[in-house]
Amino acid sequence: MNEEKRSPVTLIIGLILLAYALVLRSQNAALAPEGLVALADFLKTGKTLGTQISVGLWSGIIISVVGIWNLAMPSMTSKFDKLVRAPMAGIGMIIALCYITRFYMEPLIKVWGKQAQPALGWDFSSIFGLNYILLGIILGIVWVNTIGIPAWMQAGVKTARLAMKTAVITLGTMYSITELKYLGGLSILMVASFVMGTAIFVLWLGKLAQIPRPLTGVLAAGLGVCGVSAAVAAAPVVKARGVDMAYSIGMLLLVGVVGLFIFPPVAKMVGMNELQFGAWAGTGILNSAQVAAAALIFDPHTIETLKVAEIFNITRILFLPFIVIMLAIWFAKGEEEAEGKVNVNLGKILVDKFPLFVLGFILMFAFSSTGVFTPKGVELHGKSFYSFKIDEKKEVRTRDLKKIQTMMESGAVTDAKVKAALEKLVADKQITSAEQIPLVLKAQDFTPDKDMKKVFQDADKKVQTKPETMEMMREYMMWLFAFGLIGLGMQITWTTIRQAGGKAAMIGAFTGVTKAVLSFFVCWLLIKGSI
Amino acid sequence: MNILVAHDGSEQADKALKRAVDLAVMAKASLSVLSVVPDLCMMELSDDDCKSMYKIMTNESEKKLAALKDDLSKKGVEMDTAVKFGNAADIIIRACTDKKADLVVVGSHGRHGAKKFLLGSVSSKVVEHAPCDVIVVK
Repeated sequence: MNEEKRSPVTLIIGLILLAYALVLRSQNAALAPEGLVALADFLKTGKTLGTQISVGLWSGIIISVVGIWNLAMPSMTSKFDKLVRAPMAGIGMIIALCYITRFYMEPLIKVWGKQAQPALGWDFSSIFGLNYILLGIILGIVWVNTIGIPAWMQAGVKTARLAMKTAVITLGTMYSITELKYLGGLSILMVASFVMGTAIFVLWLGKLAQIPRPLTGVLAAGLGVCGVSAAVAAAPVVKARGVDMAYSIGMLLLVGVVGLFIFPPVAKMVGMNELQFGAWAGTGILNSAQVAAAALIFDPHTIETLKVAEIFNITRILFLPFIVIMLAIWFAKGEEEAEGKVNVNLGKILVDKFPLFVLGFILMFAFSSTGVFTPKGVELHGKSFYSFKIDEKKEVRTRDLKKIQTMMESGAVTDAKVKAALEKLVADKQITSAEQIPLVLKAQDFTPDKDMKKVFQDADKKVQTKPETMEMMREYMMWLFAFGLIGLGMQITWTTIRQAGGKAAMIGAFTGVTKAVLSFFVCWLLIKGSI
Repeated sequence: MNILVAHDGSEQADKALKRAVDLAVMAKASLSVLSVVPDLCMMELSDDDCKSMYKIMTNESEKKLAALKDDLSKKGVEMDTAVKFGNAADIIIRACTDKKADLVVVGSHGRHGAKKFLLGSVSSKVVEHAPCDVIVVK
């Protein structure tokens, strides 16, 4: 945003969002001619009108107010101005792009995919996974590399980082303790071996190819841990030159982007489940934001894959200080031979490199596990929220209960614990405790009959609940991710990728592909079951 | 007279710098050397990361130009240096106004000139949009 000129652009964008929300609202009440609502019917986005209106109203009002303020007092000097007033136009524009991709492009492509299916024989929208997350990233990439980001949008695009971090912190509220324990253990095992393995491999490869040590060091961090941010974090301790950083950043971005587009369709093709894909993306994709992007491209409508991938990503980020320390020692050793000692302050690296948002994530998890976000009696187990309060609506149908009884009498259920749980279910007519859930679901193993399996699944579903606060938080988190990922696309520039070059590009491509393929097989073949 | 020369670390830019130095000595003009580095700060990086990256790159190009500066001051030519991050053409055009330069010297192509379709994209943009005279060194 230009600091002296009066620019109406913030106000214009705010008013457009506001007008859109108001038009939708009036049509919702059947006051105005069909137009948008008919379009919503065609695109099957009718259910989203509520969200569209409320987000449009709120963001429209806030952005318009700031827009008037920007017009009245164009000078921007304080920190608040730079953090809130300057980025508002860009924020509004990205919100508008969120609307376009989520409520128009994705549904339209879905409709087209269905229409073209008879002719093509396949549905291109679902095969390519053309959902709004992917479309948003593509839109961002195309935008920045063709027309470029105008000056008034730049500050807004930069807020994408904050949006992503906030989204991840919010995600912290959505884990149950069992989930976190299981994923934490698995991710430490996977990440530790891949991070260390890759870093050591790159150091060895660098020596073999006789690449300057600073460049090798930066590449080892970037390819081993979390891409661009790790490379820059390691740069000072290995005395990297500007050109080393430029080479590595360009290459890491390129390898990450390629992975981002290739991982999801490959996983769909071989039929990976949420746990497998989350683990693969969290291990094999280099940059943090790209991990979240891949998980959401794979599965934009539930958050299970994202939850797995983020735990892996966070575990990986926590390894960064250790890799930086390792590189510092490795570099100092080489330097000692050449020209005396290099001082490395290990404690300072540990403190400086600790990512604050991880602390936020852990705090939010701790906070939510005390139950502040959920109504009384609602508990999170595995993927879903449950309420066990006795309620007629939760009761299993009488004929289903009879079926269960018949099944038990036939002696099909051999497990004593499952049997006890089913007996309790028949007596109470509904599931009454968390311990009962896995046992009732396990009862499916004792019958080949699909309808019978469904009886047990229904019993589980009946006690599930969707607490309003959590639903709202999920929705707002998805907006933050969608916003952040359009911003991510807008930072994938040809100028940056073009920086990749020389031997760095070769080592990067080779290591990146090896890591992706190896972690693919490990996740696909060794990780069984689901969360 | 004030001569502005843009430098991106490429061989072609070294040529441009040499020509600009010759011109400055000849005309007893002051010389501004502008090092242009693509802005690699992105979403993956925190503000601190970006700052440390900028610092490494700034120190480097200042170090590189320090010897030249000494040399020129002996010849009575004033020289100042600056490092800017971002789109090369935009930065050069803006610096032209900010520094009140009479003449801008640029190389015919930059670090990635090898690729045909990019050849001279910066210099041609500068020629077209700069508010002052431009010399393109071949």
